[in-house]
Amino acid sequence: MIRNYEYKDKLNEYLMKAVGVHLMVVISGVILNMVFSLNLFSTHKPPTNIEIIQSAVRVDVVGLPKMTLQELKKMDLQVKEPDAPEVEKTKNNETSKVEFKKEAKKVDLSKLLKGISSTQIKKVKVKKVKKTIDRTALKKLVLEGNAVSKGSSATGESIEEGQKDFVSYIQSLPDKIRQNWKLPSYLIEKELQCRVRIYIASNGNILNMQIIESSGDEEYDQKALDAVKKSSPLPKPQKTILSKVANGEVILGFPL
Amino acid sequence: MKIKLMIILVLFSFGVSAQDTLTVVAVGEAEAEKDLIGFVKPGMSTLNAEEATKINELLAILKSDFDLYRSLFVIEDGFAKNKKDSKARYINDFSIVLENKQMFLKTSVEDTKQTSILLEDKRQILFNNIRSFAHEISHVIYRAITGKESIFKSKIIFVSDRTSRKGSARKELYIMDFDGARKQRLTHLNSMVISPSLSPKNDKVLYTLIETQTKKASSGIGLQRVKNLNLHMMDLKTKRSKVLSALEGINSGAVFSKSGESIYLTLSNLKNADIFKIDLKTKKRRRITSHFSDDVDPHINADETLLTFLSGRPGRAMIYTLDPTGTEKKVKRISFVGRFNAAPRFNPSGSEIVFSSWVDNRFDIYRIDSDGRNLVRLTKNFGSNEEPWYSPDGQFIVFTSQRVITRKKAVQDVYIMDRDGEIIRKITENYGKIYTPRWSN
Repeated sequence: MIRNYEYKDKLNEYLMKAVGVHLMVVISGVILNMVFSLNLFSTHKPPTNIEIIQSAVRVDVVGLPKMTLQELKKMDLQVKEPDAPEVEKTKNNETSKVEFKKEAKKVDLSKLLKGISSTQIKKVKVKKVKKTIDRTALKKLVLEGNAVSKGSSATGESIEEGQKDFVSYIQSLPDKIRQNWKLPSYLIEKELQCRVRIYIASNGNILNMQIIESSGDEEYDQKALDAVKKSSPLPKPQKTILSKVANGEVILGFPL
Repeated sequence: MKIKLMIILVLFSFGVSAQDTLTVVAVGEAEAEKDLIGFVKPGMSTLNAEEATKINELLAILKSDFDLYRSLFVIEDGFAKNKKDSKARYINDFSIVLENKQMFLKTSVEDTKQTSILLEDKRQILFNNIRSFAHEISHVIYRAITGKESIFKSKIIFVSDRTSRKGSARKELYIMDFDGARKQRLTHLNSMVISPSLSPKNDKVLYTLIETQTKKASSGIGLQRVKNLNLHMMDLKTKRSKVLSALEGINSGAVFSKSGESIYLTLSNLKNADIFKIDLKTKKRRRITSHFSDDVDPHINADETLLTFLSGRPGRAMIYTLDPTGTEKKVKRISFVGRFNAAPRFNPSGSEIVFSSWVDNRFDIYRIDSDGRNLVRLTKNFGSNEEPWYSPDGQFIVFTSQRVITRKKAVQDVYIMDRDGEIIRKITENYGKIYTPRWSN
């Protein structure tokens, strides 16, 4: 009986030690992670672990496309990502109304002229967002093609749950940046490529950017940087992915 | 419980030490920047009224020409009085000089961004042929700026029914400038010309003529008159034609190989239509397709490694490609959709195919990569659009578009669009119903 207690005491002692050791490892890991996330040492370090993501649409059986190339081009320019978090703020608190006034000039003007209440502003805002969602849905419809039958299971890797928000966010970036990605014809013909690492703030502003793979042509690289600069602010990242986008985990490939 | 806690802690510690992944997202191909191009009006004090009118016409043609390449250039409004007045990147400065009683046009093209002179040109003004002269000037300017050949000296051949009379349908062959000007009739056959095609040097035209010929009656007694589609070739210098192929049935849809030494065409002498190659020197025939379904409308890429054609083998007319060095070699179906597809044509580099397809009770034009990828629609809500054909630089597509006026009347004219489907302009008007426009090489 006594021996039994001794064993239990020893087991508890070892367990506590083990917990202590692992806590030390975890804490030191967290500290190291925080230190490196400040980019104090790795600003110009070439990326070692790169995953490439491209927008892709898979349709099994399609009819002839209903939209012309010209219509699709115009649609690309018209579609804007809905800014859902902002709507929630508008509904929930006063400070967000101030932000909204700053950004939505038309509504602000209508308020000044007509003296409508903040409740009415909410209505206008919601209406605007609804319209944007409709456009997005329309664009989705176009991208899916004129499907005449539903496809069978697609091949490809599934995305981890935690990655979904991140992947969804970065897939929204090319639409925005492509509007400003322009080159003189002589540079297009050279078929060059460069890659730009970007650091995105919580409001979508670009904090920093750097060429991590040069095309070898200074003008081409500069045009890519200009395209990113002109596209700022980018869509606002969700809080869950803020650490990733703020730490420069996004690389833009021009064109790939 | 404690063991579970340990396992969680161990897993967590691994998670923290894992390396971050950088993710590359492709922005895609860049859009071409458009450059402002300006024109400086030359001093015309030495010219008489008629000459001044011609020079104004020349300047208008230059602007009209460059307006075609609107994917590359934005044309500056009006005409600058001198170079300083222009804000364009590319400034075209003209002056007229009189030497030995001859009038010359001096052209200078400056790239203000690179601060370099791209062109210094001087040539005698051809007042009696100002259109050709203007296109020549446009061409040298375009080449100086882009380093490429333009379409400004190209021609388009086509068939028109404008000489048809009541009860007597006629289709004759014509040729015109790329912008629809200076139309000229090539045939006076009072018959039905179909499916023309130009040689690589633009000196010969292949066309098929519906001709009536006599042959033994099927009963075995006496002769009967039957219609046959015979292939002819016209020399554009002499305007003389000769019969190239008059086998029983269809001898049609012929196109030259890029060397000009052979042709690809549809023959139906073996009952169903198949595609053959004929060597123009040896007259030797070689079979390219051999299938119980009809195969028609061949078109060959520049290095003769790929031939596209229309085939009924899947039950509906679909577009196929094959290796023309053999028979039924590497046959690949390109189109899988559309109720009826027609007239597949390669671009000059052979990288893409343009074709028309029947949809919503009309034809519209589509483009697809030669490997069957990237199908895009180019025309919509623009009448019924058929017979697409690429310009020699691959930047434009000429096609016919039909508008139904009444139940019995319809007009069919020629239009030009860029390869992305932006309609540039209509180039024919009131010239009968026009069929099968083919751009020169």
